[in-house]
Amino acid sequence: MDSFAHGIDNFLGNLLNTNNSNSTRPSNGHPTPSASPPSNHSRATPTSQSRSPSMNPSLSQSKQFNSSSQSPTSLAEMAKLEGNTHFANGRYAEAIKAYSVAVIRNPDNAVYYSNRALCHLRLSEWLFAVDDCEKGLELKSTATEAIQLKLWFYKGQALLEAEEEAEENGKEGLGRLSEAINCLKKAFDLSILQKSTYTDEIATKYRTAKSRRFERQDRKRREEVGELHGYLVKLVERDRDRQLKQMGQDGSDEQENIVNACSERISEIEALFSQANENSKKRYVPDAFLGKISFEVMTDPVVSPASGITYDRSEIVSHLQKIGKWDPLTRQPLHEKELVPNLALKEVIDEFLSLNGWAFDY
Amino acid sequence: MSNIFLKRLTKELRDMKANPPAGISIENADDNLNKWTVKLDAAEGTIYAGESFQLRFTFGNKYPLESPEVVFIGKPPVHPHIYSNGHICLSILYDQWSPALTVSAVCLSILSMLSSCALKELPPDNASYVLRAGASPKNTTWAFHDDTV
Repeated sequence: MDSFAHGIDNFLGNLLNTNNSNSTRPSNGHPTPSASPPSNHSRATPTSQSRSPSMNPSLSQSKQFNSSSQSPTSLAEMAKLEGNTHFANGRYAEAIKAYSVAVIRNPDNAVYYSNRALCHLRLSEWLFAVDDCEKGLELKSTATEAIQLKLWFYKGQALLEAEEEAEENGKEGLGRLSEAINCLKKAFDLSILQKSTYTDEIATKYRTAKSRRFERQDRKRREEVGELHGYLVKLVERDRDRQLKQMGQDGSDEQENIVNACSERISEIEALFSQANENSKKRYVPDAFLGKISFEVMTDPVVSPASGITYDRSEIVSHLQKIGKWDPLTRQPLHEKELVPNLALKEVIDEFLSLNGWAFDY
Repeated sequence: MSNIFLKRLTKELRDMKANPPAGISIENADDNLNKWTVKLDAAEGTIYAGESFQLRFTFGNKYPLESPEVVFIGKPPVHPHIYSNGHICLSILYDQWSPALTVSAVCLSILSMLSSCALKELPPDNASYVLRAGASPKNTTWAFHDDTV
């Protein structure tokens, strides 16, 4: 990571040269906002060492030719395109360098942050990804709805993966699982509004995050119940011992009664707790909540108006696009634009899921 | 896509094992769920009563958007829509496939095709079809002319 950061710095140092030289030229019509270092972008900020070469006049003059005719924004775009090429070839570290250059040249374009966040995601650098998403989301003017969707999705994904990774390694996570769920929910809502092709992928992540949270709460609940169970049993036993002590040595019949009453209580407690456990084991999702094609709990149920049958939007849309314009169950003609959201069913499913977190992964 | 494939087949398998439809039983499903062998017991009171047959389902990773390949293995039933190489002439397996159909629905259709048959005979073009047909019936262009049997 160190040498990599250093690489960026060198690269940026060179670019900043061109910047500085531009700003000293009155004939240059372009304002050079990036000459003032964008100090709020920690990873993209050149260090003092890397900027020092720009004081070297011969270097800045030699660079001048390349850039005198180009504005910082178009240079930023060029860096972005370079980053895209690296990204397409799976060279994520190189892509990050290029996008960082783009950020330096034009710190106000949310696309650069979004692209860089995706690279960090691919490299499992979760916190960097989160950081980029947050910066991108702050840039209200350039973060279009499609970009916002990506930023929320990447952020939620990064937070979720960070938790998963921590769990796998038996470490304490960031404790931001709920935040991950909120991000994914925002991404999911946006993707439904925008009819994005990501909807399925987002829904899957959203479900995973929710079921993780449920698992954790469930585990905690079980631990608490187990603790209560042990505590009650101990209480009963202590009560028995106390009574036996009070009585002293006389009356062995009485003693036996006390011991019997105690073991009866304990077995009642056992029965009660095992019943409670049994209840929480009953896991059943009504068929009506499942998509007719994917067999999964529906996330965006829609009605096919001619037949009245409900499908999950993503499954019916892929059927209509890939197979044919007809209802899969009744074979009546059906077009995508005719689908009507089944809001009542969605509410019922949402309520069911909020009470039965395990069903997210059903 | 492979995600929906696995999830859906896992659920179908679980459902069929939990509540097997009459006359249908899963004999074997390989670990990645690509190939299933299903045993069909012909219904009582039909001309195939007492006989049992084996179907092989092969699922491509586009299932359920694409139909599975379904053929009889072992000795296929003698039936005017079933060729002696195990290929089945049944529209829902080819151009009438719908993603809402399931393994169990396909098995029931084939069972009912057997039940409604009155005479054990091979398809009229059996010899020539078996000679030219490829390994998979999905490569055949089917003409469905007869809905009565």
